[in-house]
Amino acid sequence: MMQGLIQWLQSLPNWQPYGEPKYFAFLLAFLIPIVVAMFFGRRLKIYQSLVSLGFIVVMYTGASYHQLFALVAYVIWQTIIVFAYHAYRKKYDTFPIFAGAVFLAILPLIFVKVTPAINDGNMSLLGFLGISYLTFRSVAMIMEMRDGVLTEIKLSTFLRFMLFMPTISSGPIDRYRRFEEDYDNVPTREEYLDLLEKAVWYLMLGFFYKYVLAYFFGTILLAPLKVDALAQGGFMNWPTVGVMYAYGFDLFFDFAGYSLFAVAISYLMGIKIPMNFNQPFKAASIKDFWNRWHISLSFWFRDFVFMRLVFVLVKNKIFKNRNVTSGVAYILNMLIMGFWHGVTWYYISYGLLHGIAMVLNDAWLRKKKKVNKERRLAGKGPLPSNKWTTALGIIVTFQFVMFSFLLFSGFLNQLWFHNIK
Amino acid sequence: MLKRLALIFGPVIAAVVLVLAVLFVGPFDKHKHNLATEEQAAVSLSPTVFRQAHLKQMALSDEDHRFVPFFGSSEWNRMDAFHPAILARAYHRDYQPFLLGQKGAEALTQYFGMQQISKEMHHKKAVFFVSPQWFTKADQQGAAFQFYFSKSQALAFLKNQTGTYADRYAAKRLLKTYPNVPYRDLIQKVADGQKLSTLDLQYVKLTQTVHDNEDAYFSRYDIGDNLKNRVIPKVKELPQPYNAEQLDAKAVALGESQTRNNKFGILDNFFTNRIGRTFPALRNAQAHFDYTQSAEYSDFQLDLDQLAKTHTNAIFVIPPVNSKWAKYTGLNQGMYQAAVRKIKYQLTSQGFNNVLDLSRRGNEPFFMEDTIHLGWRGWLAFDHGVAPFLEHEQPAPTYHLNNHFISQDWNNFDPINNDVTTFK
Repeated sequence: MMQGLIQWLQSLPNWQPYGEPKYFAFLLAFLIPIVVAMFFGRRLKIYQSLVSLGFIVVMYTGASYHQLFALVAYVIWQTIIVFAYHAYRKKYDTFPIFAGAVFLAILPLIFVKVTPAINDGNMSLLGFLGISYLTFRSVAMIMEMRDGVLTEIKLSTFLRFMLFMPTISSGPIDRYRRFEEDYDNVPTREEYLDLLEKAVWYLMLGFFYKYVLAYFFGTILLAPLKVDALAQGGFMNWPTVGVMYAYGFDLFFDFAGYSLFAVAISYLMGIKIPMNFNQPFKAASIKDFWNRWHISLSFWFRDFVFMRLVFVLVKNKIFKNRNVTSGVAYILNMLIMGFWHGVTWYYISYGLLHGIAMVLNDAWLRKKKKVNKERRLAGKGPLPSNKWTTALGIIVTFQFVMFSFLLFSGFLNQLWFHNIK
Repeated sequence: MLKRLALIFGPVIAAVVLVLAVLFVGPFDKHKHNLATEEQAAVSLSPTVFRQAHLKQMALSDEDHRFVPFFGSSEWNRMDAFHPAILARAYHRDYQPFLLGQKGAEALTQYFGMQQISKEMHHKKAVFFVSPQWFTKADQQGAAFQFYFSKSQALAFLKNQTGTYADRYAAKRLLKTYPNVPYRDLIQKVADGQKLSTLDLQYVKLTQTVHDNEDAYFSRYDIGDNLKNRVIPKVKELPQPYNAEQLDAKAVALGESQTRNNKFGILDNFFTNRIGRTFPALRNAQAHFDYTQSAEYSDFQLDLDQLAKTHTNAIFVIPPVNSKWAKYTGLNQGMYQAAVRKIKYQLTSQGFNNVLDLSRRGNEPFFMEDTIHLGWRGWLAFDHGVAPFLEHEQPAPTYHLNNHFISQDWNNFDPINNDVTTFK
């Protein structure tokens, strides 16, 4: 019977989320009843769950059928941990049990991330597309339960939240309480029309980002630049600078395009999932950048890593100076994000680089404040802050970010250490 | 409320209609003939031209300019001054070759390519360059086949097939050589001998419309610059007017000047770059080569079946190998001739009587450009046989096909120890 199931899964077509025009045609066709019902103020919960399940299954069919088993096992594992901790937290609140629950929730992800680094680049059998994003959701739940802000959870809503189809593979990362409120309430017709309008716009913009701009930067520009850069070799060369910008734009338009699709489809379902990008290349500083780039991830790290690190460091009085405390927390926070991307030197140094940049950004803000205070006391005006300084900030931030993406791309790894000529 | 809905979905509906129009209507010039494009496509040897249908159809259906399909493989890329495309251009022949064949292409690739131009080949002539090297014991390489295969070929096949024995065999071969082929389910139906339903055929037709239009939009951008860089400059090198003796002398002179670094009469470049350091290892390396038994014989029969179906009058050219090189590599000439006998029997016994057999001329100086490909005087010999066939009216052939040529019996028939004419 198992054999039969595997054969059946292998025989099904494999459809990656938002991968091709056909995917949209089918998905939107299946969504029509949901949209019509939502327009008339009803949510078709069962139908929506069945459609979501169907589209989740075809993500893992064909050659990657084993991922479906990994997903099922993973969801069972997370359900047990979240509900066990929930039951425990109703009566008790101890740090070791909390830490243990978080650790167990992260454990599968750790296996999946570490396996390629120690096993010759082979993928762990526990892995499936989207494991990181599911982990973010469940870990956030455990932390909010510990905080006491999340007190009531329902199994059906939990499963729908974890397996929310539009965002399952790569976010945006939602929060349980926000999701539950949207899910249990149907937007008014006026609100829903606003959502529909935005969804249409986001879908079209997503097509432009992903299928026009990302294709241009990632396929037409990037591929020949890489060939040139590798042919020239050495430590650094001009085509590598080209690779840096082409990759940076490709990364943005590809991921932002995907995120727009995910948000648009969520809106059609009446779920106001948070946005992931807000014109990141207009950021005037690195702190500003992280409020605009992969927002749901950086806010997740802010809320569940950075804030908690600061809290622990302050509570235990590890450092006397609070600037040292926040600096250490920034660096640890970004390092953890680097590790999460993958256990390779370039992801980790990408994280470290951003951590240092955050520390420098903070130091500059303090310095500016101090200087302005002195100037005020001396009867002088504050340091200039106008469109020119903003432009300078944007330019410097953009260059820094692009350089960090070059590191992130792993291309330097290929150029420096694996360039077979 | 309705106005709001119209404002939201109106532009989307307009966009969908526009996209569908672009896909289903196609470019406005899709039925137009453009001689410049046709001429470039004919000698481009680009994978796009070879895979797709539009440019082949455009050129081969041009009533004002006669393009003749030249089926073959890597030899078309040996563009010295005596290449058929250059001779046809230099001496203003009433035909121009449309080169269909690239490295690694074999009979099955040609079969599916012919599906795209079956209408254009109807009652026309064609040249078929059949290399004994195709007929290896190991089955055709899936990678090369898959590289030259296109959805357009699959759809044309599905549309043309009528469930004959050959159609079913072609479908089976396709599934075997390309397990994940597009439209696998429909091809499986053909292989199983099931008739395609009306719905299936409508789906094929609809998909074909979209693919043809896509083809018509984009193929024109991948026709390379062979015409400008490799054909036209060489046209100017040839003596005018046509003079067979002068041409031969020129072929000898060019051959002599370009084969100085080896004793095999191989082009210097080829010997340095393609053989190079592997040279010592190649001594006797081909002693075990065998072209006499191969699944390719049945694939080749598919090509013949298709030529008969379209009443195409084809001339078949069988090349030699470079004799000196064969001696060095230990290739068995007796085996080679046995394979040629087998191929020729398959042809002539079914009424394909136009065969230009060059297979014994590999010892003539400057006949071969490298180890297995014609060059200089080899191309001139090709031209002596092929040009009159194409330029003069020929009696209509009568083909009588024998399905037994699609069989393990024939694939495994041993022409070394048996008289081929005993096979029925």
